[in-house]
This record gives sequence, C-alpha cells and structure tokens, in this order.
Amino acid sequence: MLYLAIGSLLVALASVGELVRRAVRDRRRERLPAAAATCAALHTAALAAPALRQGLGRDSARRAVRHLRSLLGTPAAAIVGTDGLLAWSGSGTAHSAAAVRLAHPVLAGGRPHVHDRLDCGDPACGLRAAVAAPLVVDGQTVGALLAFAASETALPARAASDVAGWVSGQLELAELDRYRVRLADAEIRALRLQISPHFVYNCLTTIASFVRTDPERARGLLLDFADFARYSFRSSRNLTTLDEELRSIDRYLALERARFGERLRLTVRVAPEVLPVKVPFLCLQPLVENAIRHGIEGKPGVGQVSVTARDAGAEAHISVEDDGIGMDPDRLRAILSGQADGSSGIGLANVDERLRNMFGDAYGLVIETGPGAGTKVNLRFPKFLPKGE
Amino acid sequence: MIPLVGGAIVVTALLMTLLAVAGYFSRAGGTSDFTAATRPAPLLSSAAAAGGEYTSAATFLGFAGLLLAQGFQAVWMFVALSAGYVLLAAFVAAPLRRSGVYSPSDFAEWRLRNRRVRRMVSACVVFTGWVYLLAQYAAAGALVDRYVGLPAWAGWGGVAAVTLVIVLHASNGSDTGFQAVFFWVKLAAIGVPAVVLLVLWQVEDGRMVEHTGVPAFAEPTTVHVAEDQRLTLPEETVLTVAGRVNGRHLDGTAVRLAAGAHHFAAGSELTFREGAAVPHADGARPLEGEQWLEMEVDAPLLGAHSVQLALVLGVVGLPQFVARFYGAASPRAARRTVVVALVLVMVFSIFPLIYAGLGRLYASDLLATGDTDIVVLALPERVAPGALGLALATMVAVGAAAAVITVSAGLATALGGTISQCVLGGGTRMFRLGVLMAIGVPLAALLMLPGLADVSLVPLVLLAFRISAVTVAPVLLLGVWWRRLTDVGAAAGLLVGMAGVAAGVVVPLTGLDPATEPGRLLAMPTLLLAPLVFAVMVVVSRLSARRVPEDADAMLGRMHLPRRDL
Repeated sequence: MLYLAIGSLLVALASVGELVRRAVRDRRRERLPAAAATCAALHTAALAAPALRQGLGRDSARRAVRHLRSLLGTPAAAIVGTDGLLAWSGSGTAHSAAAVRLAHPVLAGGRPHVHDRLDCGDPACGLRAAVAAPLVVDGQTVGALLAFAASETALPARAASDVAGWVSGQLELAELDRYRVRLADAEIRALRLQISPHFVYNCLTTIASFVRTDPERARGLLLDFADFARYSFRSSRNLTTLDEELRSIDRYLALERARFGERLRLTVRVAPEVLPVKVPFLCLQPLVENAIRHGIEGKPGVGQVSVTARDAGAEAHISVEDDGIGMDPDRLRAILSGQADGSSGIGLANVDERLRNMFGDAYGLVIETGPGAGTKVNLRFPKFLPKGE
Repeated sequence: MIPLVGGAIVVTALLMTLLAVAGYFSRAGGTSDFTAATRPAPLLSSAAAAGGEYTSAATFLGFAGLLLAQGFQAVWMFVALSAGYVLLAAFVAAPLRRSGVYSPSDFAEWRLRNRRVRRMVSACVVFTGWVYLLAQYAAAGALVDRYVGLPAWAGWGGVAAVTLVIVLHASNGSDTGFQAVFFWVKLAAIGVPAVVLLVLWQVEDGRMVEHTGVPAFAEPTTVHVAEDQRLTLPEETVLTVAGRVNGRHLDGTAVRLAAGAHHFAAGSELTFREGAAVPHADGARPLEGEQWLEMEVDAPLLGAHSVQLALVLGVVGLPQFVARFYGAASPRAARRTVVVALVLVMVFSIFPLIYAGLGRLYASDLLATGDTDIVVLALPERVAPGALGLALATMVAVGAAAAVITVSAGLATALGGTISQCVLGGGTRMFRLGVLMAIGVPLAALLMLPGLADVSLVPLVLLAFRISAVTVAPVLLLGVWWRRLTDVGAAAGLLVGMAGVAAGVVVPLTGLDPATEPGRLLAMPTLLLAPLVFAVMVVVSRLSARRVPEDADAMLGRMHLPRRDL
C-alpha cells in the first residue's frame, strides 16, 4: 500500500512539474515583444480559422467575428453576407442595421471602402468611422468584413483589407473541402456504376437459366439480386456497419454460387464482437468480387474463397483470401498507385484510397500475393472514429 | 498430498493454455453459411462473458475470506454491486451502445471533443486495470505458494506468461466465447464443491454456528507468527508461547493472557489447546456467533457506505462493460446483457456465502494467521479428508486459477488496446506492445515493491473500484445525461478524483491519523469524494459554459433517441 501511495505521489509530482515547466516556457516566450505580437496574432487567427473553414454562414460568422475583432483591435467589427448582416461583435449594436448599407458599395464594387461621419444618434456611442473590405471567393465577392472605430485616423484600414484577404483564403479552403467531399461521393457513385454492367449481365443470364428448370430458385435469386441492387444503389451514406456489408455480400455470393455451383467453395469466420464496426460503404464487395474473379475464373477446378473478420482490441481485422492465380506484385503496385492501364483492379485501388481518406494512411490495404500463390487482402478498421459519422 | 494438488494445478494451467487458444478460435470456426456466421453472440453467452470478466480471484477467493473475517455484514457489498449493475443497465448501457463508442476513452473524446481529456480518462482506466491486475497476481502468488511450494514470484510470472500467450497468440479471434466458456467453468468449479460440502456437512453432523461463543480450535494447534503483529484474543486464554509476547521473552512456557490485543514478535510459535478461542490477526474484531450472522453494519457508517458507493459507481466505470456494449446487437441487447450478467453474478455470489458459513465451522483457525483468503481452498480437505477432499480442493483450485487467468486476459486485452491507442498510435504491433506494458507494469511493481504482495485481495479490488467510481463513472454518467458538461469541467473533476484517491492511499501511511480531523479531510472517503467530483465537474462546466461542444444536442440525441440502425 505504501508503495502504491508513493507511486501516486510521484505521478502527482510529475504533473505539477509539467505544469510549472509549461508556465516557465510561456513566460520565456513573452520576453520577445515582436515575436510575441506575431505569436498572439497568429494564435487569434488560428482560433477563427476552424469556424471559417465551415464556409460563410450565420453560425460560422458568429463564431469567427469575435476573434477577427480582436485581431483588428477595433471596438466593433461585423461580417455581412450578400443577403444581410451575418454577425456583429463589440459595442454600438445600434449600427448593426447600418452595416448592410455600409457594405453595399463593397459588395457591388469589390474594393475596400472607408466611411466617416457615422451617426447613430446616440451620443454615448463612440463609433464614428468604418472600413469595409470585401471577402472574395473564386473572384466573386461573397461578403464584407467591417471594422468600426472612433475616428478615421484610428481605423486599421490596411489591416482590415489584409484580414479580409486572409478570411477569403480560409473561405476558399472551405470551398475546397466541399469539393473534396463531393469528389468522394462521385467516386462511390462511379464505383457502383462500375460494378453493375458486368455483374448484372452475368446475374441475369444465370437467373434466366434457372427459370424453367428451377423456378423457385430463380425467384429466390431474383429477390437476392433486388436486395443487393437496393443496397448498392441506396442513398449515399459513407459508412455502414460490417453486419450490413456482410449481409450484402451474402446476397452477392448467393448469385455467384448459382453461377459457379460446386466450383466455388466458401468459408466465413466472423467474430460476433466486430459486427457493429463501422466500415466504408461497399468496401468489401469489390474485394470479394476480385477474389472470385481471380480465384475461380482464371483456373480450372474448385476455387476456395474465405472471408475472416477478427476482433483485435480496438480494431477489427478483416481478410479476404482466395487460392487462385495470384498476381504479380509489381503489377499490383501499379494498380494501387493508379498507373495501371485497363480497367482491372479499379475496385481495389478505389477501396484502398477510400480507406486511406477515411482512417488515415496506416489503414490502407495490405495485400499478400504472388503469381500462382493466391491472394490475401487484409483490411483493418478502428472500432471507433472520434469524428463520428 | 499438497504436492499432488500442486502438480494438478500445473497440469491444468498448461491444459488451460491450450484450451484457451482453442477457445478463442472455437466460435465461428469456418462455415460456408453467412447467416450463421454473422449472427450476433447469443445473449446468454455475452452475459456470461461479461460476468466472467468480473468474477476474478477476489470474487472467487476474497469474498468468502472477507465474510469469514467480518461476518455477514459484508453481504451488503453484493447488494451494492447489484445496485451498480442496475444503475449501469438503467442509465448507461443503452445510450453507450447507441453512441457506438468502444471504450470510456473513446467516449470522452467523442463527447467532449478533446484529446487531452481522452488521455486523462485513459490514464484512469489503465491505473484501475493495473490495480485490478495486481490483485490477480497476488492471488496467483498465494495459490502457488500454498499448493506448489514455489515462491510467490513463480505464480506472478506464471500468470503473466500464460496471459501473454493467450492474448498475443490467440487474441485475433473472438473473446466472447472464451470468457463465456470459462465463466461456466468457474461457476462449476466453485458451485459443485460447495454443494458436495453442504451434503457432507449435513451427513456428518449438520451443526450450526453457535449464537454465543467465538471461534475455537477443534484440536491442539500451533500457530507460527511470520512477522511482528498484534493478535486479538477474544477471551482469556491459556497458551504456550515460544518467542516474545508483549516484549517478554518466553521459552515454551504456558501463560495466561487476558482478552484483548497482544503483541507477538516474528518467529514466535503459539500452541493453543483444544477448545481455546482462536486469536484474530490483522485487526479483525472477534465476533460472537450472533454478531457474525448479523447483517446490520457495525463498522463506522461513513466507511461502510463509502465502500458501497465505491462499488455502485465503480461497476459503471469498469472498461470491460463498455466494450461489451459495443459488440451488443442493439441497445436493448446491451441492457439485457447487463441484467442477465447480474443474475449470473448473483448466482455465483451464493457460493462464497456457503464457504464462509462452513468456514466458520471448520476453518476458523485461519483467522489466527489472517489467511482468510484461502478459506475456499482449505475447506474441502477440512470437511472431507481423503481422496474426495483432494478432488474437491483440486477443482476449486482449478477454478481459482481459471479466474485469475481469464480476468487477467480480459484486462490485458482492454488495457493493451487503451495504451496502444492513446500513447503508441494504434496498429497490431503497438497493440502487442501495449499488452506487454499492461501485463508487465504490475509484475514489475510486485517484484520491486515486496510489501505489495501482502495486501489482501479485497482491499486491492476495492481500490480499483474506488478509482473507477471517482473518475470514469462521473464522466460517463454526466456525459450521457447532462448536455452542459465541458472538457474543462470533466478534466477538473478527474484531477480532483485522482488526487482524492492518491490522498486516500497516502494519508494512512504518513502517520496522520485518519480518525482525526485533518486526516479525515485529506483521506476523503468515497462517500464525500464522489459527490465532490460530481460537484466540481458541474460547477467548472457551468463556469466554462462557452466550451460546450457545438453539437452537444446532436450527440445527446444520438444517445437517447431510438434509431433504426447505425
């Protein structure tokens, strides 16, 4: 017990030491005035950046304007959009109605504009001058940043237009983020379209062959096909659960099994703990399809495909394995880096890229293969994503 | 006879390693049927797994020992545990399942949007786990010491090695099946001997605990005093002492000692006559039969209620449960898992009562050495000397070994995940390193700090529960139910909780008497500390109201509103 106590005491001492160290470090930093001013300005800007990266809206403007005002050092600041005042910070809220009027020439002309002789009728209000600077995204003026001061000489006109320029940069980055999301969506959509023609044709011919000999089975297969199609074409949600993904693969495999009969041998091992793990939509199906194509289509006799999902602490490990013709590692590398010609392996590269985008580079596909040695694709998923969905 | 049992334990430990490896792979052993393979774990087996991760050496051995020493008032601890399970089922299980977090650390990061708070929660979880693991090692040391005759460190090393083998070489499977199977093994190992002993007791004489009178030696007994200590004599006793008593050196002469505490030097040998009252070691209070059977708590109420509150809240913060919810098929399944696990644990808890009751009749001399933790192991041979007793003792020993190893494996997996995610950055290799740290640190602590191994099981486990009760549990409860919790508030509360626990451990050792005013304030009992932590979290959160995450409403909605899926 004594040692436990000493241990806790040491931990406590270490924490206190760390706090003291940080305090000392902060104080040392303040010794350089110029550097300190830069540091403070950058820090304030960094506080405003996350809100601005959401794009220009009432909510993001409200969160950012506070920091922008302290960056400008004026008693009041405002952000105006094309459809009215978005946010006001500081004293003299009586001017907020006038802000839209002041911003008007800027929104129309795209150049900074200084107003003096403001009058709100309130003698206690010290705001007599304002500068408005445009916020420009892709060459279009989307809003204006306004700074208010007691007189024209106290106006930070130059700083206001610089800050407006910086804000415009952040807004452009926000736009870029939006494009990136849209691109990822488009890729998923493309992936869906890419699966379908080949597979749909095969499925329909297989089902057609059963229609007379075994109508019950044909009906079942058609329903499987319908379910699989509904899952694949459903509204674009980026994440799904492993459970649902496996269910969809089950339907897909029912169709493939009808086509290959005894030639396709399948093994599934799933730890029940990992069923609720969130995985990117349609991340397994292309891999299983690849395994079948390489494991069976390219060679005579029976092909073995196995899907394994294991519980590994804070991660889930999934592997898709076939004993087919395998692949040349160099070619595989070319496919994954997007330099291969032809359409083969687009699914593989796409899954790899989406995993990296979503979870980070450490979570890319790991593929073990060689000519004639079969292929094993390993995936890892973290059980929990701090970002949420 | 004892080496025989020792050999049996060694063999079963090896067998169990094999079984464990097989057990990890038992579920989903490869099928071509997707529907069967993707079925969620059955309710009973996930509940048994949750129960199995909880039924550690402390439950298996420690509770019976505690009951023997303190009487039936210790039954209130079961009541408190049940209350904890109810709290967990009613307020935490379903929301956590809906939120989709895998560990308390994940919850902190997701709910409060702060990686530092995540680290603090992780530190608390890891510290709780280490203390819990310490208890497992200590139990293993006692087992090995008693049955194999090897020094205790062999037991610690053995547990560490077996746990490492299980977790590293077989963890890539499913541990629900493994824990569930071993829960049934443990239940059988403690239950079957208990029933057999009850039958034997009835066949033999069926005598009851006498309402008046204290435990007495059934035959002339010699007690070795291993280290300097005070023994409390329940009544005036004549005994033969070879060694020092109360500073007086005696050389095998008979003395008459008055009732009360007497100081005996290390190395003394005390010989008691048949029928003499059993002296009580470790400050245990001699209890007459009636007092012993009494459920009314006679300890200071503040202390007793503190233990209960620590158990109630401690259950909420145990990391195994949160991970169990993650794997549940639905929020409802998560809630039911807790309820069924409670039922299973309570069935399990009946047996320590039986062992304690029979222990009072057959093994009360254990009070003289303070070795009450081994009452479950010692009892079979006392009640049924011979082959049957040996067989039953082996069975109980195997169960205890299983308890130590399964709980260690569960903890090592949970801690390994937490450490690797928070400190090392994730990945398979880092997970292995994390597991190594999870297992290694308590082992190193035991090896370097020799006094640690002598602490008995229940206080260690209670300490683990206490840490969890004043750190992780408030974050979970407030995070789930209170919209305005902020990262700063949670961090402040966590710091207060950790400081309180540290003070509670330190103050009794600094010589500051916990009974006096400053001592009592510093070594704050859980009954005061837990509300203080909650209060600090609430007040600091209100003061930093600007830091409430923007999407707090969305998060609360996600946790509390029923949804179709995801």
